[in-house]
Amino acid sequence: MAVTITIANEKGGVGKTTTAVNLAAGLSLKLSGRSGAAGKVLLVDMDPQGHALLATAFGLKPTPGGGNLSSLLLESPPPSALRMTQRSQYHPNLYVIPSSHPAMVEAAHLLPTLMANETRLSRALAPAAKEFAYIIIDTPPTTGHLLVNALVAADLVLIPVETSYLGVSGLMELQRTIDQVRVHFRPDLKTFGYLPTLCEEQRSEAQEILAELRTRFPGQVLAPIHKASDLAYAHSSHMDVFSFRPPRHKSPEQIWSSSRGTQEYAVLVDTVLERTGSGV
Amino acid sequence: MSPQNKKRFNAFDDLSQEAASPIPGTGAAPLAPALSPIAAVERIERLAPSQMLPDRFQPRRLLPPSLRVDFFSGKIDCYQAAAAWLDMARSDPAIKAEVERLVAMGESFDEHGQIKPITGAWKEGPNGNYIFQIETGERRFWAACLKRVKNHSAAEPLLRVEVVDNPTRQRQVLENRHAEPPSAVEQACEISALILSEMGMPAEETVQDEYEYFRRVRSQRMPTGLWEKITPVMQLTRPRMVQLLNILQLPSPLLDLTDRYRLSERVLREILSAPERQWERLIQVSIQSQLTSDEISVVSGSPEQPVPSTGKPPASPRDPGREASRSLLKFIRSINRLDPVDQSQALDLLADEVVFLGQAQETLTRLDELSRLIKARIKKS
Repeated sequence: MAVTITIANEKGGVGKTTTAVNLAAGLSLKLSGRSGAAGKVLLVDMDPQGHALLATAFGLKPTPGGGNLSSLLLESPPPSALRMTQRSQYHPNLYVIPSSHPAMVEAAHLLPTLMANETRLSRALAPAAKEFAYIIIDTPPTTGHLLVNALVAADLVLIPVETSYLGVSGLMELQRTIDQVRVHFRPDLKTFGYLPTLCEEQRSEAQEILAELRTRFPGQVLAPIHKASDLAYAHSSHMDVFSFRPPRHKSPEQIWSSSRGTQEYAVLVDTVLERTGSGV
Repeated sequence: MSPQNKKRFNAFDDLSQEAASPIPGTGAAPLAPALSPIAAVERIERLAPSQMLPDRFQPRRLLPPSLRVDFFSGKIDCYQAAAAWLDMARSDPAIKAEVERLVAMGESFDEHGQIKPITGAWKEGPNGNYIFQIETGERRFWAACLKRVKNHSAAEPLLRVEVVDNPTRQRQVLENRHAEPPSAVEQACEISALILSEMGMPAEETVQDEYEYFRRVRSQRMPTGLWEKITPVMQLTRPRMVQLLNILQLPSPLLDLTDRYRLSERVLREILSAPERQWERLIQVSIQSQLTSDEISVVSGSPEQPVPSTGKPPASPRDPGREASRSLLKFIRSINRLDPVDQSQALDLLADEVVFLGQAQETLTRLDELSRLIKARIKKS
């Protein structure tokens, strides 16, 4: 059964989609030598705003209006999630359930009116879970039913934190949401870790925030992702960073290259594999 | 005031200590347990045929063999296959009969709707994306494809499908039997598929010839209790099922031919008792002249006999004694040709039938008498 990781932070621009894209791509590269479900990764785009970035990072065109993920959330019973999947152009074992902006905006409006509206994504993904090793869910930067659905569907929550004052200030609200999900739906929902992003260590504020994070969340702060042009350029090239800056000799053992972005996300990938028991 | 002297606030001031705890379950006790799994809810969806793929190893084969390879390899899609199938129906009466039945089914969807959903599960397709693999309902699938091609419709039809978590051969065979009576070859494949499924031997996509997969059953040793599991599904006795499995000895092209023209098991049994070199000729003769098993027996006794234009071979003089001895000699020749496993199976089958027919004592008496006569001749010589 798949390990489901939701990438969440209620503040925008902290690197959720970048993390979701690169974590999914990195996991698919690491697992590319495995057959069947043990080698497959699914990426679900719950962010109405981020659809272009996520889907196009894998060579997929954004879905037209009346898209697919929204029907998983709105229809009862939901259609098969596997029907909505599209295979990535760059990674044959990586599948994406893309979304479309108008359809997801509509879904966000309609969800509160539906029964069991917090658990719809979880129930829709359940039948597909046996087909994948990992399911990565990207989320919108707002508190709302889309985020709650993504948290209820998750086994683990990965929280990107921009190392700035504003980046940290959104953590409290997210923590309240996570606690409510634990109380009402998923007592087993765990926080995988806090991922410092857009890190500029030459700024003293960033260093202070990193230190404070490590004090407040001991053992929970992951290796930071530094601000890097490769990460931005990869997006604009419609690629994940591993495809944008591949190593000379690609193999499941080495997915990183001289690019810092690839190295740091490769560390995150290894950490995920190790802590979820799938370490290669 | 310079930037260094401006008051700075700590971003973590608002973050409470409680919020720092990552361990679930701290604070208030959970009000609800973890999500329970979905109860068995029917998952009905509507899919176009292009989103579906029939099961290559479905014992009841519908698509003609000349189209199967291209279709299942992805060279042609379902509508191209349907168009080619319609073309073939113009020149082959057996194909024409099947196509007409399917087209009629397709037309009935307009009047009566699709009464039963197609069942299946989502599987990884040949191009890596997921496709709905059909467990039961392949006839409805082809009916819709043929109808669309025949009527030159632009829009794809949408068929009701039910997603099942674990497709099984048993359900597939049961659906086949409810749909229409199977041919002898189809029955043989169904029995084989059930046995291989029970023995945990799933079909591999790399197998080129699907009949090779079904033939594997003939080399397997049946574990105890296996026949008892299959009997309720097939509604046949064990001896009958063994008889049907023997049909799989035929090479694949002949299996296709006999399946298409629905030759009965009795006729095929008679054909198989003849030398292998005669099988193809006997099948052709049987199809052309619609011979019974007795007539096959006669034809096989005269190897180069041409097919009479009236459709029936000339009758030999009826001497019951000679017929009986010829039949017994044929039995001995046939059984000696088999390998030891098949021999013991054949004798097992014969013993079952003799007892079943209430002729056990009589048969033993006759065989004892024959045995004494043969021993006497051996002693004399």
